[in-house]
Amino acid sequence: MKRKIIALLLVLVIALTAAACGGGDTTPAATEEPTTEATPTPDATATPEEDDDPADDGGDDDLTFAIITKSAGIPFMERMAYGFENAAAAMGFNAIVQHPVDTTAEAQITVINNLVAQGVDGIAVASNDPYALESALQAARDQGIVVVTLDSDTAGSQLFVNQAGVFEVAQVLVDSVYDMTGGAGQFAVLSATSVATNQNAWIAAMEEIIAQNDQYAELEWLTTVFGDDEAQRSFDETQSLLVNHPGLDVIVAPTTVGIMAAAQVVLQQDSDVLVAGLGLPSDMLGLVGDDLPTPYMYLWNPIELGEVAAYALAAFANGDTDGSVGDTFTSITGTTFTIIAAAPEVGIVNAQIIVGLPFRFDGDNIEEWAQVY
Amino acid sequence: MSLRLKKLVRTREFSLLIVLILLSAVIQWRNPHFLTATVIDSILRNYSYTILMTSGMLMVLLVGGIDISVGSTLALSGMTSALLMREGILPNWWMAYLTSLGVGILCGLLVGIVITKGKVLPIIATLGFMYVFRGLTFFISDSQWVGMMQLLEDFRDFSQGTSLGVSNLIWITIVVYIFVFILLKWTKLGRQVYAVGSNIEAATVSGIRTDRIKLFVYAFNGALAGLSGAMFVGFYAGAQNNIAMGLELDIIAACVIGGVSLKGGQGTIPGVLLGALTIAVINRSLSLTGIDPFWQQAIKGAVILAAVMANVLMQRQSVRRTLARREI
Repeated sequence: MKRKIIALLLVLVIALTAAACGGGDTTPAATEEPTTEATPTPDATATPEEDDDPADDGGDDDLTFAIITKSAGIPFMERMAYGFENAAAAMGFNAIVQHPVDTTAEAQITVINNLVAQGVDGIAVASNDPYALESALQAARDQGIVVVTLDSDTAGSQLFVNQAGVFEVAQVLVDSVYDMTGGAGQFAVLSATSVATNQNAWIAAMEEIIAQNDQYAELEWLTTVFGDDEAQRSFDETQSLLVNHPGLDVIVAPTTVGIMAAAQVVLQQDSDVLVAGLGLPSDMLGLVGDDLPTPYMYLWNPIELGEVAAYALAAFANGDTDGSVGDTFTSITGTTFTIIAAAPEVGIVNAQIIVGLPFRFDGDNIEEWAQVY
Repeated sequence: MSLRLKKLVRTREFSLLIVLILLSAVIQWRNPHFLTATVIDSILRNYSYTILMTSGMLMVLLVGGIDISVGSTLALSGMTSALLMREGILPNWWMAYLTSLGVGILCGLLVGIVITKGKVLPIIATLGFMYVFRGLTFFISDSQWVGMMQLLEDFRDFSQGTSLGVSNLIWITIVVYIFVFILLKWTKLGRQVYAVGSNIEAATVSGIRTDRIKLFVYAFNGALAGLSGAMFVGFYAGAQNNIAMGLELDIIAACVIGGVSLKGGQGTIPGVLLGALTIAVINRSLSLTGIDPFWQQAIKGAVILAAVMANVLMQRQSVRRTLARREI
């Protein structure tokens, strides 16, 4: 009897584990001859017509592109991967989506090595570290694999698909502060982790913009704190800001978890402080609008970001560009992208293309966008 | 014998209280805003579930076990009720709390069964479940977050609201602490928990069904983690998949600071309450005192070690004094 119970339990555990993995992303190793059978990934919903007659497809169709997100469980990354899959499907390529187990470079290196072994044709990666991926990506390129970065850059990539120019983002953040303080006042920054590449780039660019513009002379930057993208930590940091700086006017959080926590604290404490920054519409519904902690906020469209990464990989694979500055390529939607120089001073080490300007969400459009992402 | 033991226990908590007061004094010196009603209230609110779960961990440690899956249990139970609210299945706040509680009890029972019937070492069994429950959280939520407006309004209102000027979450914690205190001190079941942890052979010989006691303790611990899941999601007004990662370490640290023996059989509710408060104060003070973020983790670890050592040293001193007095 006891044995039966144990055996049953073991089966249950294995079943649960398998169920948990089912939502994951492992693909059977891609074959060396992709023509014989495309390997449908368990969750590659974007390529449902896998069984189409290969005869009427062009030569490019056998290319397989992979996207590596920062980690599983981040809605922004999920939407980005969705856009990538859709664009690849629209161009007739296979897409593989890989979510590393956590937000570390180590987890991404494992995934990159697996993809190289599978023999994919292109990799787009949202890097977790500014340097640590370089040798893994170089190894991939030595195999003839095209490598681009998106969302956050890293050494070793051929092109950075920039969601929005660093200075454009920093500019809207500074302008938010300028507007919400009425031109003069105190503000503080609530960031993610202290080593997050893109947050640090935006913060550095904000410093530069404020320093170089007399218009912002009356803005007093009190401090920058780090909530580690955790609810509890971000709550603690926000509450400490409110306690330590009674004259605080605005908190800027260039991170989706941070802005949510900060706005939540301000709402719960009924404080007069306003919260600006970059937030996900579906999470910020109820916090963005007139008379709410966040009058307006910004973000870009993650779906579009993923799509452009797929277009960039295709442009490299087709020979439309080799990644040199000044090159242009046109996506199947008709948009032309121009490759511009790197900006190492803000953490962009590769030549880059810019997807678009940050998009503004306010009380008028937040409900509509909350349905999207 | 029991009188002397009581005295010893009392000094243990007393030395811990001194550590906490010293720590608070240092923070107060660094930041005069620390000892104000607003800050103290926010510390108790933000850490109510950490303090709550410490009492469950106390019972697990008392029987000589350990449970490092509680952070994942919190995430799974919180996510479950959040998703059910999003789908409009749960009608009101207390149903949501009960759902999370139920998921927590199931998780705890599963852990307890594997440990008692499967004879797996507690740290290994709960390590496994830490990943299983976390994975399930990702799976059921399809890696999505649940946003503020997708939660029931009365659920958020209750979790963020107050009764008689005190946060509802703090009330829950107080009630649970009184319950566990009475359970451990004055009930047969509570004394059996101590007996199992002090000497399991003696407990078995004296007719205590040790497996049942262990199963109860893990289920109770799971129940508190489940309850905390609802508290967390309601208070922070949103459910993410990665919530409460690493929380188990803070909770175990709180127990150790509170004088709980990892070998079992030793530890009290007042002790872990002080331990949990110490951890909450340490965490909060990192942001209040403006310590460089790069140093915060190292400083947190150092303060935990210092608190444990100060507690042990002061306690040893008082034991020596008691012994000396006895010889006279």
